[in-house]
Amino acid sequence: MPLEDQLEKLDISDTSYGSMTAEIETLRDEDGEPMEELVDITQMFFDLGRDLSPHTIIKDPGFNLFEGTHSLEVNNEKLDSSLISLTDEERQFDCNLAYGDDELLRLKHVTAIVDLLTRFLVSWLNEYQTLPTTVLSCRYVEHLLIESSKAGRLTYLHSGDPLYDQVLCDAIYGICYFAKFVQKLLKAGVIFEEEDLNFNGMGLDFLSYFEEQQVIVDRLHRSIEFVESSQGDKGTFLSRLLRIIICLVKMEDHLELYSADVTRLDELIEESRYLDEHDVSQEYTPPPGCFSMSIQKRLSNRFPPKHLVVPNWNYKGFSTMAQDLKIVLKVNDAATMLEAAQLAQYFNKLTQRHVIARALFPLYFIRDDQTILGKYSTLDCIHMHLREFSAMSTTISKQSPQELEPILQEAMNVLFEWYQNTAQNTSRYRQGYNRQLLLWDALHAQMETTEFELAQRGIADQTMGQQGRIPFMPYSSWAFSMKVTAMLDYVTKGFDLDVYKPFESFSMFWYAYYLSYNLEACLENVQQFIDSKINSIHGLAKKIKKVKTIEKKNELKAQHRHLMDTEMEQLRTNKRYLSYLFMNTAIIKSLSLAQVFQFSILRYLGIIDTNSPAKSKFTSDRLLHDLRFKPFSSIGVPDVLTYETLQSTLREFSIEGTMSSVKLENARQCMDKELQSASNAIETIKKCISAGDNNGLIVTGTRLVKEEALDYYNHLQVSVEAIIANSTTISSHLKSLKSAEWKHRHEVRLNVPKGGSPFFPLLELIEKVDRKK
Amino acid sequence: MIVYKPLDLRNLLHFEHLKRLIDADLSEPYSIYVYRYFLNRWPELTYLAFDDESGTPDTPIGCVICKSELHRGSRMRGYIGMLAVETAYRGLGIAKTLVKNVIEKMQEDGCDEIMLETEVENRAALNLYEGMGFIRMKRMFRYYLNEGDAFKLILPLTQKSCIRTTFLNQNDELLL
Repeated sequence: MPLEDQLEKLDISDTSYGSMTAEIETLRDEDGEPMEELVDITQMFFDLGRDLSPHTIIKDPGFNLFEGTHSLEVNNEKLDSSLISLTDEERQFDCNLAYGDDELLRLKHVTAIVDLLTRFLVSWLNEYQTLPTTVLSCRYVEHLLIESSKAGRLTYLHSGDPLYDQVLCDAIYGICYFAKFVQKLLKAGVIFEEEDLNFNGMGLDFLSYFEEQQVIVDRLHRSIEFVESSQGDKGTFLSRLLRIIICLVKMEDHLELYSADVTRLDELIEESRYLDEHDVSQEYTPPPGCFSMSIQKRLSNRFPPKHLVVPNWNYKGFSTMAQDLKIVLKVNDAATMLEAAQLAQYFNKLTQRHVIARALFPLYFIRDDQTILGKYSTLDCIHMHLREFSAMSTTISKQSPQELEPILQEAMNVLFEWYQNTAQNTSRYRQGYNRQLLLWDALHAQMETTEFELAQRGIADQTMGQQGRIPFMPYSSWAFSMKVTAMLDYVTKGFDLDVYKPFESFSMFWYAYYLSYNLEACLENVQQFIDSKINSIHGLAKKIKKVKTIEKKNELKAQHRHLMDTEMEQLRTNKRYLSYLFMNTAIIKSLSLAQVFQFSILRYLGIIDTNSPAKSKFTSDRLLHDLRFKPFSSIGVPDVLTYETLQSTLREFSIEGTMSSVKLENARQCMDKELQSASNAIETIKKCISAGDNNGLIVTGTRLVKEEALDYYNHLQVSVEAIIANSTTISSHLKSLKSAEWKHRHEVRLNVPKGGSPFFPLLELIEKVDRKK
Repeated sequence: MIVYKPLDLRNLLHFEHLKRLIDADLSEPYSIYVYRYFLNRWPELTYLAFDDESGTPDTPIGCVICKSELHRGSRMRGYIGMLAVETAYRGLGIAKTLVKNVIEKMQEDGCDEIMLETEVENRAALNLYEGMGFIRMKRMFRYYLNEGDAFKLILPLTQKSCIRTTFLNQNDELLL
């Protein structure tokens, strides 16, 4: 931006700065011609300075505190990268010299450089390090990127040794080509710069002018052949490194061609295993000065100085990357939207997946051409989601009235955001749900209104309730179930992220129980509708027998066959999927309720309360409660848990007062009952996941993420057992617990047992720590 | 005895000491701009602690640096930017008094809530703030330059703190 424009952007409108009266004088060269780049602002600077009020900060209006915390400071050694001191080797390093006195030493140097660069990739991507402290600290990388960018094509070194001039260059271009793919993923906006990934390219052009992947791959093959033929066994390690780089270069095919072929990923796993088992870090060293902080000193740098990373022998990191990518690519095999959604639900739930896999997932699923997996339109996708839950055989989906279209489009937008959110890092995942609550709530309200209006025009479905026929709204049922599931995820994820203190666990577990209860009610409605549809098709068969005329018989037979062919299978699948959802919801409900009982027992013992233990004159327990429930405060249905409701719920669970020993025993029995019921449901789901969806009992839709889903339920099972054991421990201390001294010395902490579910931590008794010590 | 005073912006010596205190303690290296951003705009929201029985009674041994602004056009939010106490003076409740003083000031000024971020691993800071009623609102992944996660903590002072911004703004529009 020209300096004049920059000066105009400065916040000088405030009268305290005075008015800009100075003329901007353009500098002229020896011939009196204006110099475009340089402007003499000396006079203007002093003129403006004279009018400044003391203690005034001069800043651009857009320069806020966030910008400020990223600002640098000249002559501050923590913030000024020009103060970095370099060794003689670093200063005198020459990229066009073949370092190493003999051929073996030169091989060792080149191997060491490629080895370090490859391990730096793992430091960068798996361990969240920056480019200037890893890959870009290599002088050759910097040199080749600069020279190639100037030439607009790949240029090579001129040291006279093919190991440097060909092999090293090919390896570096392979690595940079891969970095360019990572940059593209980052720019797609799924993952967050600095948080998930750092791409500080120091102003260097990462081969934007070069698109020919095959050329890079061919040259890497050429180098492998050269190393193998010229170096024999001595070159094995280097050639294995080059093979890894080829796998990395080919990774962009998953984005550019939407390839689901995992051959290269398997090769990457294989090669990384080999390299992991052959630690040669002591054997090979790079030439002195080759890796340096000097790029931070010399090139455009908006970050404070940072020391180079010392990478571990971290080749296993490539295996992690490839394994996680393989999980994501399985979505290509999704036979139903349920399978796609279950993959999204489980792949990143318990273990945060590799950043490349997380970034790729939504881009692979929702493609540039606006199709889903290259097979379905967005409208197809939302219809499939609806049909696989509640909309099968409904009047509304059969008639598909026009006015539904914009709502379905909106539903698709919200659903896409849901898919994208499942790929976020563990903290963003919960923040995403915070926003999603509003979106699902708005969609639910919109769908309900439209379905109500359509019902007025006779486009309606009904189901049998306890008081006879009641309206059934398939679309709003779906939106409601998605909304409540998002609310549950948001609540329980707070435990995983250690956001709640023990005193808050009662309200959060109670709310999770209450949400599950509401979800169950919704599922029951859907189930009743599906049952009525299945029964009605079966009823048609009976009707055929009763009908007298052949003509009518044939007509009914045809109708029955048509329904059996087009609707029955999906209805039966949906019924079995609902059975799974019932069990899954029952697990959350039972576990949450058991935790509520556990809290009540500990509260009876006087060790914990729902009020904050903080002694603050600034706030109140009501305000703290309302703040905690702020994300839900605008949700219409289900109701938010108000402070009053919390207090009355607490009274219902209170063990204090008369018959306390009976109440205590009841609480323990209820807890045991809930835990036993959760355990049974977990076991059933696990068996069905293992057996696959043709098990005849329930449909889990987890075919593509069997291992991950089993892992999730295994963790829940461990938690159930740990809660039982913890409850027994607490019971065994009951007598001593009632003593004032014991109470004084103990407190409750939320703790996830080894292998347990982070969403249901234990309310564990521990001795108080004297914080003053 | 420890005495607590608001910042005197004209005292450059205090500024230098304060900067040294913070620089020694925090994981984030801050430029002079960040200090000036807080101190020059909200000098009344910086408090210093002095030991008047020491040999250097005019040298601050602790400080808290804050700001307060309208947040998303809907509520006044106080923000605790930096807090530091010299190692030799820790465990004496100085940080707690500094924070208490500045919260009182921000409450007087009409703040609806006080917000801050702290490292997940900083148990001392979490104990201090949570002991004063702050609660953790969210966790932020790799928030600091040292690659650590952070918690965002909020202390609600009025009911406005407990209403989503979108709805606060809608209510304001309705009132108009």
